[in-house]
Amino acid sequence: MKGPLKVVLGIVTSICGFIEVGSMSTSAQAGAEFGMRLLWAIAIATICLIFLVEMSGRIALVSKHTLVSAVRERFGFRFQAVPLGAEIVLDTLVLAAEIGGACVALQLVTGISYRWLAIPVGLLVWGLLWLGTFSLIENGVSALGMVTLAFVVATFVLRPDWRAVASGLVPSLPKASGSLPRYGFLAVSILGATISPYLVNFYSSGAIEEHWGEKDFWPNRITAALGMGFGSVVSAAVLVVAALTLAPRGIRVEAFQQGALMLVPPFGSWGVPLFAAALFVGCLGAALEVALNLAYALSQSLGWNWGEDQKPHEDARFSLVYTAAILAGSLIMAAGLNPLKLTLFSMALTVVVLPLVVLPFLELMNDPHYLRTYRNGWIGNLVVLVVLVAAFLLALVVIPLEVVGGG
Amino acid sequence: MRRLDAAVLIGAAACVCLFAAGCRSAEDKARDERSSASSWCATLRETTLDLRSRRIPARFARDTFRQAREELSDELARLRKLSADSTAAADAAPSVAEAAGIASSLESDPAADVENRAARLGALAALLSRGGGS
Repeated sequence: MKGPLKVVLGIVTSICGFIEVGSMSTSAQAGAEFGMRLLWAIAIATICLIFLVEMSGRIALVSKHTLVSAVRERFGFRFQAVPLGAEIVLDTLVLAAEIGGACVALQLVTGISYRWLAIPVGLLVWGLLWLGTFSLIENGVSALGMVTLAFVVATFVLRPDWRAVASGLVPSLPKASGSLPRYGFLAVSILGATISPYLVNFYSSGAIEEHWGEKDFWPNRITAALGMGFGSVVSAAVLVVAALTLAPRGIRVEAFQQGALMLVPPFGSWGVPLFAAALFVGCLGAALEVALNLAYALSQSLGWNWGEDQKPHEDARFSLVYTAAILAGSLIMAAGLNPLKLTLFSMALTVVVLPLVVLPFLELMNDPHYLRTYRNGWIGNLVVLVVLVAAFLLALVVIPLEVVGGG
Repeated sequence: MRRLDAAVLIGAAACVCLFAAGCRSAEDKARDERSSASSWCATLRETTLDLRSRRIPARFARDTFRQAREELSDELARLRKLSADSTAAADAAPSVAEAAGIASSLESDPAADVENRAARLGALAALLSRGGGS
């Protein structure tokens, strides 16, 4: 494929694959409860994500290492066991949440309880991974992800006050002081939903699968900036639509049924099916990526054969890992855990786990042995560090408040 | 050693937060319940009206009515528990019970008396949101 076309495809893939259960539910809740006031969290998280994704592509194309294999080589397996263990636990929870999101999407249109749909959806995810190739997963599901652009269209149909939208990009506190812990928890959840560790490692593994080289330095940079930048516009659109349709009616998103009502004012009878389709496709795509990332992370850490483009018998342990992960995720949902609560909890927990994954990564990105002249500049290091540390400290305060407070 | 210190500090901070959260008053908890119940009343109202104007599928509306009834019943149980220590909880309980009853009747007959039910649900949502919400 020619360079420019590859870049355009990469950008479209990033935009259409951006929305998943975490970004959709955190944005919807934020918009319904606090109007435009939390848009700044999406903006800050997106800037940090652009830097991280660009870095993970850069390390792959320069050093030919994925993030996980480079950390293992540089710091040793004993050091890596901690972030790896945290990522396995977190990814399993996120995978369960994504499978749950896809099940709820089907429940919205069929009326069948999500618990009964968990195993069939798990089988669908597994079948696509078992039979599919990396490009099918990356491009096929992202093509279907065009449906998530419905939120962007809805934003324009609803004609928001653009000054109010712009003012949401400036951090501000809620009017009622009693809602401050909830506001903080949602800010942390948005950060966690946007800056997902799985996305960073998945991106670098994808770069190796697609044989990127140094010639891809600029395409990587452009794809990361525009793909993630415009992708987050979809996430922001969910927040704006919820702020315009749910907040004035006094509806909070405590269940996906409430979230589904947000597209009814702009699209009428198409609203609920469109919401369900966006949720299903977004969650299906993310479930595929998270399951693959678990297999990538474990296989790369333990030095196993890995690659989605290989036949399952050629990398049997790799295939076994995603099979076990999907089974675990499906069983968690079949057991009846509330998918929305699990999603929010996983997203907030992500922020706590992020430093474990990102700090060694930053150290690597400044190591001339791996990056030669392509090392990080001070801006990239500073942005990622400041966002991570601030989010981590905020998470330490608001997660216990939310969990014990039962909000 | 430095790592141990950091771990102890983080653990202590988490304990303080947990303690603070555990100390939330019955009034705070009642406010959360009222706010959530108000949101479900508003959801029921919108779903009823959207169903009448055929903007949402009947199956989806039925599922929403069921979910709302379950949530409101759970909230009612929690409010009754809090009633001894919170006047806000005691005041809210009858309204939440009424809303749960309307949700139940909507499940069995969603098309009947739409205007009055929607108006009542709107009034209940407004009543419950006072003293709660963001």
